[in-house]
Amino acid sequence: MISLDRASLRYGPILGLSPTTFELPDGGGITGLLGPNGAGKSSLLQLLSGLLPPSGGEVRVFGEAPFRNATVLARLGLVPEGDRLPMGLRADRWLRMMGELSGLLGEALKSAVARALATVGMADRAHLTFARMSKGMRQRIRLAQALLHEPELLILDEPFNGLDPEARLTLIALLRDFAAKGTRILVSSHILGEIAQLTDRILLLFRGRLLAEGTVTEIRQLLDRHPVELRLTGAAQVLARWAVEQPELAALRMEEGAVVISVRSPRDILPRLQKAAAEGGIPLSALDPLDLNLDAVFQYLTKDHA
Amino acid sequence: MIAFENLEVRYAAASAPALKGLTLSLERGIVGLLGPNGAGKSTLLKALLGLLTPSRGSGTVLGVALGAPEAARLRARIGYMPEYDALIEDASAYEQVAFWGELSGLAPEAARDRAHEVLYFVGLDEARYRPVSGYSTGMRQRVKLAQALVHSPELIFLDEPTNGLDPDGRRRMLDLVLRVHAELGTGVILASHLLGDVERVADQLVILDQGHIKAAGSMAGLRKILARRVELRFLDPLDATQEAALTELGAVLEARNGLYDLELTEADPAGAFRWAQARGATLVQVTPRHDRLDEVLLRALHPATSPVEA
Amino acid sequence: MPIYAPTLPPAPDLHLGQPPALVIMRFDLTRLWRQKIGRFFGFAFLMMLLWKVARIYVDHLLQTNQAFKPMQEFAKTILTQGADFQADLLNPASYLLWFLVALIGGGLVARDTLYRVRPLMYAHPVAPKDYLLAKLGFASALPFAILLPFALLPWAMSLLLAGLHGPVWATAPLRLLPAMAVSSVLMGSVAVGASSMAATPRAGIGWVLGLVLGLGTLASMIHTLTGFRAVDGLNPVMLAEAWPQLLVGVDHPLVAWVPAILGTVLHIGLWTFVAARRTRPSEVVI
Repeated sequence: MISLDRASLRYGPILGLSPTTFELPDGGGITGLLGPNGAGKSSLLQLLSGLLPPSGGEVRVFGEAPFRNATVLARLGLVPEGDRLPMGLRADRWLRMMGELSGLLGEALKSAVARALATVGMADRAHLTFARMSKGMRQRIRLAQALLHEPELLILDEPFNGLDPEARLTLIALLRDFAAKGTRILVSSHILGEIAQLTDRILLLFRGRLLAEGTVTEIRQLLDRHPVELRLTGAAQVLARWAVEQPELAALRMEEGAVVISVRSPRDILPRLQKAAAEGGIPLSALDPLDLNLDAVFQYLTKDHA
Repeated sequence: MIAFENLEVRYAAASAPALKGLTLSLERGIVGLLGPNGAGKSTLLKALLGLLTPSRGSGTVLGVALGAPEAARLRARIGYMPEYDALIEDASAYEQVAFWGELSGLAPEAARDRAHEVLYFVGLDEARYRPVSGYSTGMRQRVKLAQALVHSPELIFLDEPTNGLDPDGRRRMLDLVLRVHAELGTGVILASHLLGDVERVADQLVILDQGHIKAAGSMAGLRKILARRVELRFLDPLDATQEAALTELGAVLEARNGLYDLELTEADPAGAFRWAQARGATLVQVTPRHDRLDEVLLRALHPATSPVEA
Repeated sequence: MPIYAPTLPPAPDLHLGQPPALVIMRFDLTRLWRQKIGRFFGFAFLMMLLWKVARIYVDHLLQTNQAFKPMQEFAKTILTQGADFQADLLNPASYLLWFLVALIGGGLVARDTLYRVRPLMYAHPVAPKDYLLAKLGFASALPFAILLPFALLPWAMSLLLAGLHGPVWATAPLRLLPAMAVSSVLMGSVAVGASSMAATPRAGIGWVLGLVLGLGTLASMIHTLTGFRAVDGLNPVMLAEAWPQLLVGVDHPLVAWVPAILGTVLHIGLWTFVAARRTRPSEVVI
């Protein structure tokens, strides 16, 4: 659905994205676009949504170059970063205007606006002006705008910025809903917790380069320089005695009612651990992988390449 | 640290109360303050600083009764890190931190010494002599934190301290917040829109909405362990037959991104290992399921669905 | 041999600090120092001061040296004498000084508005009146400090060269210092009031200049059209120049006593009120 072949973006002398090659397969689901400030997230989204042509290489969305390409743009929806809207305007009128720009007219436009508003749960409040809406409500209208023409690919740049917790949760639920219905979604954020709640499939950019692409579990397993930390809860003494006999053990730390072990190759030790626990050999009541999460993966990846 | 008894606060005698009958008791620790915009967070701050007098009820902050003459001195004992960029752009970090220290009542010499100390504490070394206009977002946030700490307050109020920071900057700021409490013994109130931040550092939680307290208490008390609920994750994705067979273990309440939320039929979580062993899957996570902070928040804000006890 | 923990040492005493208004004024002074706009003004004012002092010396030579006897009468006709001469000592209180006050005073409050520093200040033990006092004090102390050598140096020089019979009256500072104080407070309050209405320091400079020049133009237009002289009491530039004249008692001051008092009280009162309104704590953020 999306492919980049050595595509790069420079703004004059300023680097946006180094030559990058990757491919995202067809099909629904959410991909999180992560990276520290200035990593190239917005540059990548600008290339994909056809706002800018690549400085070099090729960008393909639905098999075509998206820049100034109406057929591609008609199939994707974009929610750009920020909260800039004509504050004095009524939301439904603004939506109608945006719909007209997408080529919708008459009844089709009317029903598209009504459907989009209903999807984001704003049907009863669309007559308000933007000035009278909260940030969360405005964000939902902006999302409705991107949904008017029923896109197959939805691109959101930092959609959670400035929202209060409830508005965040509402938006997360909405996006999950779309993904379940088959829309492909690309979301950028610098807040890992939100991406972790949305998806475990990520694209990680760092200093204008693509560092990793895949699910968190897959990426974590490739990071074999970093031993995996497992917290085993149960009778700590017994668990520790079992752990020291394992050849994969790299380090061991005692905690209250638990033992934390660092192991080099989890693929080898985990089946043995499971077997021992299943057969009652060790009193294991909980197993918690401490660094098998997005935070740890992000930290390891950016530190290793710093 | 803070005790309110039916505290009501109005901006003017005739206006509607901005805080409505708050009853609250917080120990010195890290308190997460959650709530939508306009919930009353900044009114609470003003009450803490002794800027507003209670119109009904009573409140004690750091042992001082609100409304008493000594309440005016509270401002020297509390540090405030605002959400907005309240930096003096043409002054260096060192100059302005010393300035804020003097405004809190430090002698000029003491303020300069303390400015250096807190700037080291927050990790601004060489940059402290340069004007802050050239600072990165992370550095600016740290100057704001140093400014709140310079007079060694007993309580600091942090408003969205991780705003605009990338994951690395966010982690470092939250580590600093933890150190402020652990090493300096300062009480912390952390107002944030990011549940992840609050979850990471707070030991107590207050949820405020439209001037009312919707939930308050210790984090452990509010985020109960749910009986018989476990979260499972496997080393490799389950195939369709394995996934279907999960019902042998209990009811699958939610499955997302490879994480399964189950209500077990038998109380022993070790049963999960036996099931995986029998089904040829490898478990990498078996953890008891806590209430998540987003669930606590939604239940508190919409008590109609299911009430939360404070 | 102890190992010291690398954390902050015990809390310092909080009651030894200086009054907040003084702290803010000191901070504004270091800021002014850094802005480095002093060079041009320093040079200009120094030249003026040298000219005044040189005149005292020339006058002394004319009086004492017989060789210059024939020129004495001529000198009398081109140099001001008596009360006019005393008042003239303070004539930098005209456009150049106003310009300096605008340049510095215009940013005093506006800079804090732009950087959103004031709400944080009120979260410290700083009352709105401390803040206002600091800004008014700073904006008034500045012109006063610049005028001070103009009042004192020629006077000292004259005493030194010619004793009690010199061109500068022995009692001149007693009249000039209060006049300077009134003019300085007038300048300070106009600058702070105008600055409080601006959103950026640059706009603040514009506000001060606009107010001063605009009011001046308006007053002199009304004056010329109607012939009503008292209206000059609204002109801040004329007011600042009139006070030394009034206090040393010149024959034809720019503004008479009554309009001068009324105009000065009106300006100081109005602009202080405006500044107080614009810098009070808002309900939204502290």
